[in-house]
Amino acid sequence: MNTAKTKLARLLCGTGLLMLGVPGLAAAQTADAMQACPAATSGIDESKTFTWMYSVGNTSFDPDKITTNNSQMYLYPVYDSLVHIDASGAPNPMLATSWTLSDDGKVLEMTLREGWSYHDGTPFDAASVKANIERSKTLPGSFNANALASITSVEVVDARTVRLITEGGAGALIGVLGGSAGMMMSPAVFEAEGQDIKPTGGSGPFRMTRYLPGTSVEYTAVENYWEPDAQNVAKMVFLISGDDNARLNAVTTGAADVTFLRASMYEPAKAAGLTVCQQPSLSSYNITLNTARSEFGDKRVRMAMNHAIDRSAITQLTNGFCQPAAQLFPPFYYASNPEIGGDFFAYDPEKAKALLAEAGLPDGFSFDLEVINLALYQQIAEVIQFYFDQVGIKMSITPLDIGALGENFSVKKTSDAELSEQKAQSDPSILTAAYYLADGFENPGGYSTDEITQLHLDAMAGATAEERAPIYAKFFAAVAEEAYPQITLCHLATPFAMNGQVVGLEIYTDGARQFRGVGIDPSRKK
Amino acid sequence: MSGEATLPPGGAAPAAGPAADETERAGASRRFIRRFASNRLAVGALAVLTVMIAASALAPWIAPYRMDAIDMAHRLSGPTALHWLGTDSLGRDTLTRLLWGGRTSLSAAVLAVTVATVIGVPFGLIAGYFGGRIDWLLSRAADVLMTFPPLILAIAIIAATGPGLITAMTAIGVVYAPRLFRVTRGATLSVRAETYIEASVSIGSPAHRIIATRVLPNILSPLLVQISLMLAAALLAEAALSLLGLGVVPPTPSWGNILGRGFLEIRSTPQLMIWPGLTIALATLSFNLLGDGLRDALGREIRKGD
Amino acid sequence: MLGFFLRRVLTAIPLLAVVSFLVFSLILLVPGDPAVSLAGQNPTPEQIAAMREQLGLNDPFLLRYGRWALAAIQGDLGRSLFTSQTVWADITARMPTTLSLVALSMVIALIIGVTVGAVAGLRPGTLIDRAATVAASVGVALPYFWTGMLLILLLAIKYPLLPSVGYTPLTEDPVEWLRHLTLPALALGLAPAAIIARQTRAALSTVMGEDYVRTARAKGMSPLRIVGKHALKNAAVPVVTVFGIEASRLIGGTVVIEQVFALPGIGQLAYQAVFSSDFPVVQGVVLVTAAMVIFINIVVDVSYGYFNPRIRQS
Repeated sequence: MNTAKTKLARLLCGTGLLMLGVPGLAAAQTADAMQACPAATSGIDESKTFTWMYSVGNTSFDPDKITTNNSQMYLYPVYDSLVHIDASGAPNPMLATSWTLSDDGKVLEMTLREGWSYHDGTPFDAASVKANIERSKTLPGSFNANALASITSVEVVDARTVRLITEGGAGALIGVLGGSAGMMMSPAVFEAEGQDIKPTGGSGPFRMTRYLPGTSVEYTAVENYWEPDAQNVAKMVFLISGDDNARLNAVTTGAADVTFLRASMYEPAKAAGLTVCQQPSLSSYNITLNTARSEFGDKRVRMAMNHAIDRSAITQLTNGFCQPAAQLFPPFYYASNPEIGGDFFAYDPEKAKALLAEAGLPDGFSFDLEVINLALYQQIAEVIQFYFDQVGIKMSITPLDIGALGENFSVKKTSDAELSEQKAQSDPSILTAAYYLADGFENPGGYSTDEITQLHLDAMAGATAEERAPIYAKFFAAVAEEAYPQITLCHLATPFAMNGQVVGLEIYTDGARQFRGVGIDPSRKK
Repeated sequence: MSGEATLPPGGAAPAAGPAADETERAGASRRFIRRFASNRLAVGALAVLTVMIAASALAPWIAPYRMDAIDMAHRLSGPTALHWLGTDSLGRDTLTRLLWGGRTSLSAAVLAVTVATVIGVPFGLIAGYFGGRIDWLLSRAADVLMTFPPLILAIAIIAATGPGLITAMTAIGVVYAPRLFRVTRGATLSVRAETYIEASVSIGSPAHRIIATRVLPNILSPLLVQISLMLAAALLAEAALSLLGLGVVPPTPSWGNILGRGFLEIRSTPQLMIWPGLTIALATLSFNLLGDGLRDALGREIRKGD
Repeated sequence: MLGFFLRRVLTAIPLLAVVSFLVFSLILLVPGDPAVSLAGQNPTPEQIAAMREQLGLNDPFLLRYGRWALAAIQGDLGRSLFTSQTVWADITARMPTTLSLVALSMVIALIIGVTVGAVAGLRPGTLIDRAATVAASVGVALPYFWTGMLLILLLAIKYPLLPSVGYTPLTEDPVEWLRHLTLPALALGLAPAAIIARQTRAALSTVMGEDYVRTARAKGMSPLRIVGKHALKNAAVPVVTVFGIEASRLIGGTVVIEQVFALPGIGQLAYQAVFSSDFPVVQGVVLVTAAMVIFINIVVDVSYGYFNPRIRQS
């Protein structure tokens, strides 16, 4: 296995990324703590069960019906996607064994894996791929519709070949098809009842065999999986607990093999003798505003909110695990603007008050923030509540289940604002579409500008990361200039803690919690 | 605490009869004060509660810091000269939060018990005084309410109306009402059977006047005891709801949500869950001891109904 | 005995009917029109009307209750609004955890309560009696959730003897089942134990003064046998009464304890449902817990008959 450093190198080269200068904060913080997890060994016992423990559950087992980014984690074992974005962020073959991009960047032709079937026996072929993509584009409320919007038609060339035709930006599709938008589900069960709680038309290495919503999910390995190396355990169990202490205790007592750590758990995990490892990640904490509500339609108000918050307080709250930020992705990622640091909107309550007065709100205003009912999010919300209060903005806090949070904000559009963690997606265009386009899933107020919309499309059209990087730099400059209704607070690093027998676990840079190839080696010390 | 539940309920005669004139009443209350004062535990409990209530009421003036003032540089500090009880994960002063939390928690408990009293006592008086069908009907209604675990019903009501301590504690009060109803009804029944009430009825005094002047004064003692015990239970209910994040909304503190936040830091800063827990336990213990003390001092058998 | 039990169950049916009606009525507290919130964004009046039709909201309330109750009798409590799992499946999957917790708490309460109460009651006025009395006062007043936290701090973190999170089904591994439930059950059982100890002590000290006990003593029966054979049985009635009263508080307490110890029970289900406004699940949990309270009270009533046969005839 690679060392952490070569992994980072692969992240940057493998995807053809450009090192746009690593600004101090992120580098210093991640370099210090970066440790690779133990690599796969020959001692793996394939009859074992692997148990992962996370903080929130999923909202559906149907890739088009999920409403949260995190839900994908629960779908990866069940559904293979056309492309696999590996831990470093590089696209690899999966159900598509190879692909070619036309010279004008408008057509993506994919060759499909032979001899593979869906779990219900339906053969995997070009027609089923076409059916999947069309469903993802057209199903009302589809989580993946935004990401696939550039596709105008899907052509079945022959049983093994499919052609995706776009108006431009087919290059970005490669990454897009590595997430839920590229997950393949048997067309025979599209209309079947109960797929959202008991999926039967999967295409991945596991089938879901037991589900207690909000508590646990059990997966059992399928026979004859096309890539045996990616399937090293007989069962996987995902447990859910929102309590950080409970999750850590579960790993120390053996109830779970692995969990992720929040800042306050880091030292106790090491003290308990657990293996702790981490990778730089593309996750961030954001407050997202509905510009159709409260006073958020006014740019000066949004500027005031940005200047009112002392982002370093959140860094302190997270023991340095979340570094101040003012753009969606961290500067080491190609889809970012290296000039926009955490101090872009300097903490300046006087300026915030002046901006509010300018906007005709000298006495401030009030709104409600919906937040996940997990302790850390509520604490962040209380920090922000305090800073807003200093400039006259009265913010109330409503804790909600993560499913209800997404539903209220994006689907029903009944909330003023939400605070949540945004993990990266398999391609940056998925999130830029969701947040910055007028019809974006995370943009219920429909706020956008022509310039931003155009830059989004331009960036998608780029074939490689090198081509796309300068366009994204412009894109995020324009976003910051507008004080977009998405306030990034900080960029997050998330370590994992595990017992010594877990091997072959990789932490995905994009924050996708995938456990492909993970195994248990009983010969190692727990 | 001694031989409670050993005497048959309602076996002792009411303290005051129709002949109870002013001097006799004064004598009774002097006896009560003397007996209560000799119960050191109860007096101590009363003192603790008095201090708690006064400190909470004066929180805006005596608390050393602003209630929501965060100070990230001094987060999770142990006791220092600046922060006598240390600070929480946002650097807020624990002592300040506890003082302000007392306002929330104590008034929430009072709210629930007030609701229970306003519902339970009048219906209990009616059921006990008039008997018959109305008694049967009210008693069955009480049976129905008693089947709901208070906390779960409160959570259900929060699910319907959204989080908020006022709705939650009102719901708790409604579920507690049958307990006061039963005590009131039982006490009223035994008073009703007294000859002086029969006498009043026979000379045509209106029911509401008999209840107000004859029945109510005679059932006050068991009610007081019950209310004191119920305050303890309501305090626990508030703490439980706020602990779950279903009660008071931030940044307002309550003893329950301070405890909930403290529990998160159990590995690094356990004292954050010790102080609020100790405060709640002390308040509950005091209400219980006060109730026991009242019961003993009033010299009557009153069954604990909660 | 069985006849008495069945009669008692029959009388519980109207109670359950009224309870279920109240549970169903909870939906009236939901602000706004459910059809509007379910019809999606900017719904047209036609869409709202269609949704009303679909939800049966046009029917009179009583008819809607009737339909719901009829389905509920057949074990159909509707579907979760968020996971689309049936409420019944959600509840039954978590029921063993909560029942285990409640049962173990009660066992702990009984064992500790009766032992402490008996020891104190047999030696009234001694130091041990006074110590037990003080312990009982403190035990009653200790907030159970705080007791749980203290137990975690002491027995899971400082001295890691027992797990402080999670649940292993009894059928899978009885030892682990017990290890996982010990701390939460202890936290939940301590307050009822204190109350039972008080009752046992009081009842016992009275019974010990009764003529037949004195006679037995005079005949030379050992104090232990007297307590076992006569005194405890007679002291059982007030103890059992307390048991019934405490049951409802104990079941309510599981919501908090399951959260503190991360146990996947129905309390946790209710907690999750509140934060997603998943009303069918909330209704299901309230109904089921109320039914549990009713059932426990039936058992309590029936056991009166066992401890004191005169009640059976009345």
